[in-house]
Amino acid sequence: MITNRPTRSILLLLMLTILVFMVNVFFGSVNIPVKEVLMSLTGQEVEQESWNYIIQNYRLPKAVTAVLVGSGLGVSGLLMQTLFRNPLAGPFVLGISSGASLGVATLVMGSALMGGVLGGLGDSKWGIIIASSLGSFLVLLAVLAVSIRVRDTMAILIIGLMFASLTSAIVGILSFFTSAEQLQQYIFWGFGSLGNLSWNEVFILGIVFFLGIAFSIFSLKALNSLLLGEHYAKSMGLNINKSRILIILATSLLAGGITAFAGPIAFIGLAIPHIARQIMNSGNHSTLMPAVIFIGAIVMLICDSIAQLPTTDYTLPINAVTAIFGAPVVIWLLVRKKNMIF
Amino acid sequence: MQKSTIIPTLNVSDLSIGFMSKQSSNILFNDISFKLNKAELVGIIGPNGIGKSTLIRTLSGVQSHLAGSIEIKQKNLKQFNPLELASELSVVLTEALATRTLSVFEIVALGRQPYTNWIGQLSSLDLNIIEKAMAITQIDDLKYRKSFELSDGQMQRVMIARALAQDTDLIILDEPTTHLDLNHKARTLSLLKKLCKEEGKSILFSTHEIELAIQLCDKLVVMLAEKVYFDSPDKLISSGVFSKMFPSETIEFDTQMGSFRIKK
Repeated sequence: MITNRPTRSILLLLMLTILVFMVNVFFGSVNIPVKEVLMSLTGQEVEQESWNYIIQNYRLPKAVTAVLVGSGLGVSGLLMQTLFRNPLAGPFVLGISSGASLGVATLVMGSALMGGVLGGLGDSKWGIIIASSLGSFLVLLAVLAVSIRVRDTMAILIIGLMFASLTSAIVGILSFFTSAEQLQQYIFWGFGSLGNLSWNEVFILGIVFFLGIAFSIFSLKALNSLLLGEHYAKSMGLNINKSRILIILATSLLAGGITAFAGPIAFIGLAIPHIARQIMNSGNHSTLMPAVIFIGAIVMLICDSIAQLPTTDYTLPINAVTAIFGAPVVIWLLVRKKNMIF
Repeated sequence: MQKSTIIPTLNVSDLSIGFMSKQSSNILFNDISFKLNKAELVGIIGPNGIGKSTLIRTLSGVQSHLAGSIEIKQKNLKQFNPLELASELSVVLTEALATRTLSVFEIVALGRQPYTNWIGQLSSLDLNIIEKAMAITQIDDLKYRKSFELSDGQMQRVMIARALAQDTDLIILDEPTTHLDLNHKARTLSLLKKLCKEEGKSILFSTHEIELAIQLCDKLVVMLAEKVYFDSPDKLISSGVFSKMFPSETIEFDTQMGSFRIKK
């Protein structure tokens, strides 16, 4: 039966996700014997207490974060590509990451200019998370307020891009007047990071993630009919405006939440849906979405493993790794198939 | 006669079509009236730029009308919500699909969307209707092909199958014969004729294939600059409507043959 083929691929992807997750937890900067990692995971006594701490409070939350980030960004990229019928769209076309950048830049670099109240917040993690969420939310709100006045979906795309330029200009001005130290802090935030989260923060990110995924699953039917174009979708009884709001809401939750906790992680959201389409050889969202969820997790876990540079003391910025290792993969896939599937 | 008791599938009266903006309304055409009964095939013909597409878009609810009324089974088009309308009217448009990766089966299956649950799951009834739609349009053997592998003629039949799967009494098609060679034009129009006769569908389509339309359609809507004519093809021929269609110095209409000639 042909209908079984996608199910089998998805099961395979699920198993691969588990495997890559294990590899990610087993290997890191500190060399911990495989047996000891297993002991720690199963809750048994470990030879060195510091190993147990590293696994329980650093590697595990980091691996879970990687899964949430990869899956979430992949799904929101898929939603945006379908909504805008544009293979170049990603999770951030609605200005979410530029909004987050503006929020964080205002907090980190603006604190020096304004001094006082904001000054203390700049160093705290929650300060960054709140500033990032607030920035994303405000810019998204502005984009939506403008786009309610236009009925054209493509106009929303362009308005989102315009707001991104606008905010990056403001960030540019802020950086011009700031000190080198604060500029560095802002740039470090821009590299993205998976390993900064405590279990509590992972838990909150998880709630936001599952909400976003739930909204996405409720949009599945609408997404499939949008593949035929808005006129066809409407002729098949779809309430375009309602579906558009649901899709944008799902994307905002996923991309906004992830950016707040892990920084602006580029590339993944754009590339994962393309990899999924090539592997599944399908445009049907009912098979694409689970594939995107697992492939997103797999790619993010692999990128994180590479970024940790196992057995060395160095950690590469995750944002650089995703693009350096991901871009050639996408190029290779496209060249091999000689046909861009969208 | 029982004629007065027949409920027309589509009843258009005194319709004005065009574009409306806040500042002004640009009326393309006034006083369009025609009826489409069960099992009738009606073509809309007229020179380029006269407003055929606008009429099709207005009738299918993409664009709102400026005056007059459109009734589907005696209910005003404005009173339908999108889902109700989707079970009465299906469309085949000229726009290219945004995706190229859906299989033929998946595209036809999308026609069942008005009837499926929140996640779009297909029941065995849905599957039966999809299979039947693919059988009538003779695309069974293309079932698992991707849409980018299809020719224009095949694609047109797939989109007609999708409209059939939507299971509506009324189907409206916007220029279903463009980009097709003569053989596929004839095949597409014969298919539409068959759907009317065998499935009892009411089908309205716009076309530039006037000669084929004269041969196949039960009635024609002829849009000319001064007014809209609506009648059966032979009556339209005898009243000389076709001779007025194009400038007489370039093209003349042969009423015996029912075809156009280029003046030499």
